[in-house]
Amino acid sequence: MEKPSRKVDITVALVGNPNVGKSSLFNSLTGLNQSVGNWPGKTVEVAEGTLAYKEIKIKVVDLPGTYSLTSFSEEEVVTRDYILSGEADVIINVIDATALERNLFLTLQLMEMNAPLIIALNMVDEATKKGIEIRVDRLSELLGVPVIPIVATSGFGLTELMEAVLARPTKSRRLTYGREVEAYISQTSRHLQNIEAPYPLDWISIKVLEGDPIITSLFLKDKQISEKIASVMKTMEDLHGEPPSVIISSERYALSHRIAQQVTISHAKPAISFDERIDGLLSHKVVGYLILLMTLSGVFLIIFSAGSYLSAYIDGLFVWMIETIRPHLQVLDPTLSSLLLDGILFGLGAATSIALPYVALFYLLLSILEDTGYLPRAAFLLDSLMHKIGLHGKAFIPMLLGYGCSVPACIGCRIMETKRERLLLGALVVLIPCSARTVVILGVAGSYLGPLVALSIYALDLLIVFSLGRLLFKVLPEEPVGLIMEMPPLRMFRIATVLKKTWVKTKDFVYIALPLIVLGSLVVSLASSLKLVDLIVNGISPITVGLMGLPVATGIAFIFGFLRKELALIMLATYVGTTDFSVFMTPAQMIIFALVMVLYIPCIATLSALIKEYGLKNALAITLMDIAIALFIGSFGIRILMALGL
Amino acid sequence: MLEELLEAFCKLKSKLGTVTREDMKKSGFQEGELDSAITGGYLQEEGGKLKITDRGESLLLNHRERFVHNSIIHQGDESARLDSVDHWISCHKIDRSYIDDFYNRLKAIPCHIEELIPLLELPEGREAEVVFLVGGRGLISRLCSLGITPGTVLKVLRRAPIGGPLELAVRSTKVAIGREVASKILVKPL
Repeated sequence: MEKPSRKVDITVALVGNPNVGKSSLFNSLTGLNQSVGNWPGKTVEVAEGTLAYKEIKIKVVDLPGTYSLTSFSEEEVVTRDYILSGEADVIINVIDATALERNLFLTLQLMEMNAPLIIALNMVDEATKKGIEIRVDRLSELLGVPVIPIVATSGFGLTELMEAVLARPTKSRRLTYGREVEAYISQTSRHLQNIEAPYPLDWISIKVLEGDPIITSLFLKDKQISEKIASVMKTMEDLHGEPPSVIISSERYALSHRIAQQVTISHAKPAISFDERIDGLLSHKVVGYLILLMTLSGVFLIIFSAGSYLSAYIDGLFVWMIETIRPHLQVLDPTLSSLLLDGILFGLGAATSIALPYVALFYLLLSILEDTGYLPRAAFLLDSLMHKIGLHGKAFIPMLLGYGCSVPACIGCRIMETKRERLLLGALVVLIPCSARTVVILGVAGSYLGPLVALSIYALDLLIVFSLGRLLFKVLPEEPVGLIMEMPPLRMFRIATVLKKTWVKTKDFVYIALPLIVLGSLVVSLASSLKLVDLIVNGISPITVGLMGLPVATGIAFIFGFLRKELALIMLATYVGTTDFSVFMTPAQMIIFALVMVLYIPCIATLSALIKEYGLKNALAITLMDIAIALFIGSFGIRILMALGL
Repeated sequence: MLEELLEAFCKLKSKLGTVTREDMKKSGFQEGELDSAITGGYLQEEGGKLKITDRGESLLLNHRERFVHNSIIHQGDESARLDSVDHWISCHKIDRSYIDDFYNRLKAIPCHIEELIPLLELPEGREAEVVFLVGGRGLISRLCSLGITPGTVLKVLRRAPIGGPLELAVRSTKVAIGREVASKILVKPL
């Protein structure tokens, strides 16, 4: 492994459509030597990693997956700006050999920008299986760019790819489009020839013709030139009956279609492949929904049963550890012993007993669903349901993420196209019971009142989320953005990839959660020795006791639940001095306690994610809304339950 | 409604080649409805085969234009509507008369308007060529980047039930699009 201090020799950026195995290539190249970060000022995640090949240190930047390089989404702008900045010495365009035509659309745009390009033709094995053979040499000749066939998941072709990187490709050159479009481009370039720009002139012309707002405002300041270009655009539109951007896109696609046809040899295909049949079942009108229901309930069943078993086991391990060490430490210094054991070690135990069983298990199953390509099928089936709350099918994915942890769910809302949709969805996903809240539901309602009650709380929460979505949609009505989503081919997942994904995601959770939990436990053991806790707990008793009819002690759970929700239960147990909640809570109180814990406030990590994604004002609005919902449900719920005689 | 009858006639005609009275009755139209379309001069009957007249054609044209017009102007709330209008105005570099101009454009597209249907109406398993995209810049750009450009041949693989999306085969990939999006793609069935 290389020391990070050493200077980077070559910087390589990976560019490609979503679902072409770009991340697999990134992982194969950099191993675990990577970090995911946000681009400064942008809510787009960019992963960076390094590798050493023949003693040359190569930095690899995994740019967000994109189909095009317009300026309609932040992903596209980030990718475009990075390529234009010239920071990368080499751009590797990862393309899917089974969908050459669609992938070349992006390649052509990269060539318009004269990027120093290498093409990594990925999934050649899958193409062979589908009876598709790509003439690599011919493709390279037509594009004038090196093309390396690879299989990112198995590592095939990576040495050749790295050799091509070391050979440093020269700047690529734009391919010629049809005569008419070329005439429009050169006319525009002539009008623009006097502007000063660090970018290729033809590329600017194309972008101006496409009506790209960023490029237009940068380079089209002269009124006379603007008018001349407007007249070129008008001619295009009058002659073709389409806006210039559509004409240019069609032209690119026509060219990629021609290239794809020239380099593809299709062998006899099986009539309907096995994959197709499975796909047909997965998105079937009836069977599809049954499979969806079974898959989701299967996921939760596994998490609940295996999770609670593992969790109890780990918990027991830590309790045993604490109790074994305690007598030895207590002799030395009772205060220190309490801080170390009840604070730090107890917190560590709490974190691992959540992180490992619930979170890791959730991410393991999620990674499998992700890698097989099942999630888009689920989104397809749930589109009409999501429309009821003013969103489209893709919104299902962050919602599912929410069952693991709210933080990635908030970040996952970026898959929605508009700000409004992202905000709407963000307000909803924080109310989905995450692993930590699942622990609360299971720990209180589940263990004392039975799994059916726990399930009802889950269902009620979903109902609240759905009603809130409906309400927000009514309050902030707007034509929902339609669903446009690629359905990637179904694939068998690889165990190694899935485990690695699980590890990376669980690690992120631990990094966020662990310090907070340990800190929280420390604060509690400190505060309880200073008798501060009673003061606060009694202070908020008008709300806990007066409004929601809960025992005074539950106040502690609500205070510490802000740090971590699962912490709440542990804190409550510590404070009351018993883990048997039935001693001081009636069944009705348990139900309300669990419900309010789920709803009342996003935890501190989620709140910071909300602030980062939506700004302070929106984050506070969401928080206040959640508090209001929790108080409403709490105060009315307890009265209804008591009236029912619980 | 007369328009619906004519629409159904066109659909049948493109499917069967020739359409008889019996064919129309099989698709649920009454004898009386057919007679009134013929007496009104919208359809003609020659040797047992039904034909659409110029008058019928122009009624259909109006109907289709109304459809397109509705899908642009009368869908969505004020701001979405203004967006579409702005889009058309900016495309045409003119004021007010944009609608006229838009209709001219519709007429300039390379096939008969009556051959066009919104993708939403394309049956499962049928192939069609994309002719015209209706909508704001964002929507059109998203469609184009996934390969749904004018001239593209696509196929409806399946539809999700209860107002759900359509799954398309396009450029050897699969793409799911919502119904509201599918109503904005005008296609010519092949």
